[in-house]
Amino acid sequence: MNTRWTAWLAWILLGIAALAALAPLYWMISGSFKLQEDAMQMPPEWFPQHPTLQNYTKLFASGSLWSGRRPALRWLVNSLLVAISVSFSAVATSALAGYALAKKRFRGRLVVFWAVVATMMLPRQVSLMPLYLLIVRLGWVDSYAALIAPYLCFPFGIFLVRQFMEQMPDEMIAAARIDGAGEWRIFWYIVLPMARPALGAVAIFSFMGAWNEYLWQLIVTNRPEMFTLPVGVSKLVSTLTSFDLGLAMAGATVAFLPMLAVFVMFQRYFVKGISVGALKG
Amino acid sequence: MVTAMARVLLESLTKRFGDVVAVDSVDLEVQDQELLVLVGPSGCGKSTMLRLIAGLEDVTSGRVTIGDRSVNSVPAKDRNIAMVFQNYALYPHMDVYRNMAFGLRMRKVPRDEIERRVRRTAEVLGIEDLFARRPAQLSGGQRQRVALGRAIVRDPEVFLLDEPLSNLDARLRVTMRSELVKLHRHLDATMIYVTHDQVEAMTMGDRLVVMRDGRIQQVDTPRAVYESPANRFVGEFIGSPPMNILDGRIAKSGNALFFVSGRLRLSIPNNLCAPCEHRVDQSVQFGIRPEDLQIRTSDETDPDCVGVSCEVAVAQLLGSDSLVELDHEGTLVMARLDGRRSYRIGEVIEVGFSMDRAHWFDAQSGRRL
Repeated sequence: MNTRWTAWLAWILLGIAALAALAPLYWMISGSFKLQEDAMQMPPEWFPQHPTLQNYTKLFASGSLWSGRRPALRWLVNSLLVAISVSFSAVATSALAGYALAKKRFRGRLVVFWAVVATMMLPRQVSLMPLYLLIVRLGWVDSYAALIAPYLCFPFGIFLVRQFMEQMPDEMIAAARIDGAGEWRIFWYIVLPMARPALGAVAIFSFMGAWNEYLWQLIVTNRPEMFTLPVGVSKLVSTLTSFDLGLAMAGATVAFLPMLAVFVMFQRYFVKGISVGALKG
Repeated sequence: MVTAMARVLLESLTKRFGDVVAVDSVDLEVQDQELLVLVGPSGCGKSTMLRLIAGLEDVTSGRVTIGDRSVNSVPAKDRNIAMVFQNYALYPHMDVYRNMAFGLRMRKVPRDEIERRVRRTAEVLGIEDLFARRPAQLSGGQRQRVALGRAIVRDPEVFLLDEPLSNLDARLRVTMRSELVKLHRHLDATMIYVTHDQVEAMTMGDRLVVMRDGRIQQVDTPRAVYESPANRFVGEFIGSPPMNILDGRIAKSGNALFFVSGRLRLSIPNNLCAPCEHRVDQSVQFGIRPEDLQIRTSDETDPDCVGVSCEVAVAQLLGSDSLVELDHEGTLVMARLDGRRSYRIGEVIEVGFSMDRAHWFDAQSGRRL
């Protein structure tokens, strides 16, 4: 009897928490389908009375697609380009570095590992200015290089992959070596496929990180066509003379959807990635 | 599957890890088509020796020769050896077929040839129904077979097996033991087999190599190792329960020799311990296996069987035998006695020591006298 009550109580509490977490999302998505006057209405309107796609057409269709005043499609493409390049590169570098740090014996191995870990502890604000000055000196402001280059390596990814690969039995690699595989083939045919859960997690984390890297993207881009979606959306909110809530909500919804898609697709790896190291074998 | 002469020769082979000497100038010749068992307690260097032969570790000094080829600087993949690991080391993301085919694929064997060889090997091992399964979907015994299959399919000159049965349950281990021996005969291959289990060593090997602290203690047939261990360590290590070892000295009274340990005094019948003649009043170690103690009946006529009365301290019934710990005024010995009789704790029985089967070791070096 008792356990049934506590189960119900847990369901109710979790339900309330879930609703509280979902409410802003709902507000954002429903708001994107509202006309300006409905969106600003007090008391707030929970269900759009006059649903409209006007905000989305405004977001994507006003001006020319690639150079217009609100090139939202371009922003979306920019964001995807940056996030996908960063996540590919992060997976590649994490896999290589993680493997070397986990399975190769060389002088200074631990020093390198701890140096990588130490970079994770630096607050971002500390490196922001020097990094920005470096980018300016390289003449990379308003370029994809500026958006992508600082994130080609992903210390947390190296850490994650290293921890995961440490648990791989050495015998597996020895067996492949005796089976006639050289270094690259061992890496490609044995180590990489076995590290898939960790690499999946790295892909997600780095994609999310790049997608949400608002501050950096804001300071290295000035021209609207180089904006990423989050930067562009924030400019929509902050620079328009008449604040258009519906339009901002539509922009935020578009910015949110790719993340949702990535999460749904890779949820399995996401959960595994978090528990890497807690798992045995 | 006939391979070329696959003799393995180790010459003053040494491997150091920092200050630790794992293998200490070992000389050993493994004959073609021999099943040689390396046995010893954990950390004795037997696995390191196998890895040196495989090429997974670099030799510190000395030489490894496989066939007629010195392989010190030949990488593992070109040594034409196959290895089976204790944890099988199957590739978890590949199915059984691909696990077995991997080595051939890496060697660019044509596809139809791979298929033919994998199928033939799988038939020998009775695993052809498992091709589509992943290692995680196999039982321990099946994994063991796949690991063997992966080695056999390559048709190597030498098989190296590193404790391949120790992850199996006791019953399966017995079955696999005899299967491995049959397989060895079927393949006519040279096999070097590492184990810490002296039962495996005794039952499987053509010859045994008993190791300790990186050094070879004895190389001989299982029977010779059992019946005349080269030193005290080998005597205690091979055989279960281990040989009883008693510290004591040789005493002489008149013409008769005695071994004295605590309050135990055993007469040594004529000429059964020639070296003891020269060691009167010196310390020696006396070894006797539990099965060389019997209950002495009143009509005992064997002059080599010396009777001592002992108290039963502990008795364990194994079925056909009982392991009985006997106490002679403070000196304890383990005996393997008739299991049909029951033993009460505290009961006093007359026990016969078969002095013709006694082993004598030097008190300092532990070497056989």
